[in-house]
Amino acid sequence: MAVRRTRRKPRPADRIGSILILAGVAAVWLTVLLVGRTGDRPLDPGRDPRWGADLVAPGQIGDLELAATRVFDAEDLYEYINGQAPHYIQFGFRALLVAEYAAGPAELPSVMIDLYDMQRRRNAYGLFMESFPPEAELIDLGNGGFLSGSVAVFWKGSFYVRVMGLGASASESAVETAAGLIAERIEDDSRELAEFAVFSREGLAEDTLSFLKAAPFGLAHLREAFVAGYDTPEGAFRLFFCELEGPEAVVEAVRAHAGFLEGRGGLQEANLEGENLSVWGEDRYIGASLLMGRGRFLAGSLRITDVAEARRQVEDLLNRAESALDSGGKDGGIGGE
Amino acid sequence: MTDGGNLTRRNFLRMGTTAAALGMAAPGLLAQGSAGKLEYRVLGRTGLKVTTVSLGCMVAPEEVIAMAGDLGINWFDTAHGYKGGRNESEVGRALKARRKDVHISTKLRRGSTQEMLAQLETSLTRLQTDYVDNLMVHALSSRDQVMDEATLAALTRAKESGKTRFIGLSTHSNMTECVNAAVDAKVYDIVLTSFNFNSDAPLIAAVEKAAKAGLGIIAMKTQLGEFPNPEGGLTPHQAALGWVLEKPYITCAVPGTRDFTQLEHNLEVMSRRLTAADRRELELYAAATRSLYCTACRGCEGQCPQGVNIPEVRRCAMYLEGYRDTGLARENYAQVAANAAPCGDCAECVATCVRGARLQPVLARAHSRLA
Repeated sequence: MAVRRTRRKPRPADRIGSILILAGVAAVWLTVLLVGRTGDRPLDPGRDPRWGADLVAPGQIGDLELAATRVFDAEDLYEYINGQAPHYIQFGFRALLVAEYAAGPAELPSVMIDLYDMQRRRNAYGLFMESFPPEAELIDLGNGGFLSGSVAVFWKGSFYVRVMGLGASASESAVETAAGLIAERIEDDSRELAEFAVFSREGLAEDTLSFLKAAPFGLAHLREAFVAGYDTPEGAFRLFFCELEGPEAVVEAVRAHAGFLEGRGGLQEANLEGENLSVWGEDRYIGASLLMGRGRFLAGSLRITDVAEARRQVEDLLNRAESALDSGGKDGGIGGE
Repeated sequence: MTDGGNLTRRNFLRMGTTAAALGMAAPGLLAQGSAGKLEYRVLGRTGLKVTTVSLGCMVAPEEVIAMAGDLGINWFDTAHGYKGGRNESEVGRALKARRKDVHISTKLRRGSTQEMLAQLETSLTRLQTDYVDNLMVHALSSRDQVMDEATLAALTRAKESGKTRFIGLSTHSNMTECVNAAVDAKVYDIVLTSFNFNSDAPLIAAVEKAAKAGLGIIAMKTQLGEFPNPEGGLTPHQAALGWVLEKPYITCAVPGTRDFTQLEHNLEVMSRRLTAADRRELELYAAATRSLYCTACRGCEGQCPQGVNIPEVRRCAMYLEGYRDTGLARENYAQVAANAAPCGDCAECVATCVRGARLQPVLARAHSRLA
């Protein structure tokens, strides 16, 4: 027997549903169109979803007008900076906004700005310090900058910024003006990294504060290390602390350090259980080292001469790091955490 | 593992992260500070015997450099510009006590003869030595740069004054042209070039030819990044290094070495050989990464129906974006435009990269900025 299908008259709710479905499909289609890879066609960076920051390239810098913008992410950064891309990515790179400025629509660009969103202030700072020539003069640009020919480089917030003059007509003053304007547009609560305030100033050696993103001191099991050098009558040593993802990462790092020392015949003592972890030992290249871990923080000392004193110092550093950073110290800056 | 039928780098990396982590967690061979067997080769006509696994110091902490020296590595590669100049100081401190046992090679930025000689003086001070074993001009990318008179004058004067024993050049762009030019110049002793399992036939031929001509050949960028080796054997990092050192025309490699573990693993390569599994993984990774970088193979030459000189325009884009040398980019683009059609406004670019890299965006960027 044939089945008779009854066609009922569509109700208003059905029509609304159909419209909503079609609208949803259209929205998805438009989203795909906008969100899909755009190569490097000029885009308002505010509309490129790969650019997560609120900061938009200014439309005008002095007499120069914004001519073109590009956005790159980790997938295609190599197209822009080729062999350097992995290093930037390893440093926490999230996205790059490139903005070009020219004297007029028919003119070649004479200033180019590279605005790297490095996700965190520490990453921007670390990348900046790597590029900072020791002979250069640190100038008052952003949170710290320098000039090298027709290039201005600075960091502020979570941004690492390069401003370049292009061509023979580029003037250093135009570069400095552009750099200053960009720096003003980046918000930041502080010129310093809050993490450096954790270190005691007593005996702190000048120009020894640093942030080492990966494998500080050649130790593959450590990362995200804030380091300070100390010079006291008892000798020179280094203190450092690392803020990791969580307690498991800390346990893993402390155990790895014990393994490192043991493998080299220098392990003296290890406490790898409970909330307060510690290991100390000696190595020909990093000297006597003490590492302590608690929560998501590691703290340690290298080239120690007095283990008891080192324990006191590292414990103090751990307490200070927890107190300062566990209270929600801001990472600052647009795009920062 | 594949994406649309193609093995992508991202999928390949995701595939074996755990395997890689396990491999790297295995204890190294150097528990007691022993390097195992060291291999040496003679660096071309210099006569220097250097360890086949040497040290690229750019990312190496001072502690690692010191350990490398203690373990017997005797060739250390740094540069005036690494870490803003701090790397040479690190090398100097780490190797001061054993200066006579090691060879230090550094590189200077191109400039006038006087500028380069001034750089050299600064470098020697940082390195705490009154000579280097090899002085190179850094990151050349064209025959013209290799033959540049100011460069050759600086290197030659440095050699004549005893501030360097030998001279050379480094290149990681348009390497084939640069290596061939180094042979033709007849003054260089050493060439440091990118060379890895992804290198193409023209570069391999150029390097072989240079070695036969007596130049010492040093390989860098041997790893092309890190990737997993699920089948065991050498780690992929080691396999890539081992692939390079299998080539008798390569004297040594200077892998960038960030930590003690990496140093130990690199040294282990000197006493290990590639297995069939290692080669298979390298082939897979080569296929996954071939399209990422332009290697200046010139496979795109002659493809544009409008006559755009694609390889040369790509090189201009590299000067502008990679090297940020806008003057050089514009100067070269002017020559390209004078001799051939500039990139136009075709509705669709028909040229394709034989390695799968994207051409059109790079060409369009170069044209918009340099035309």
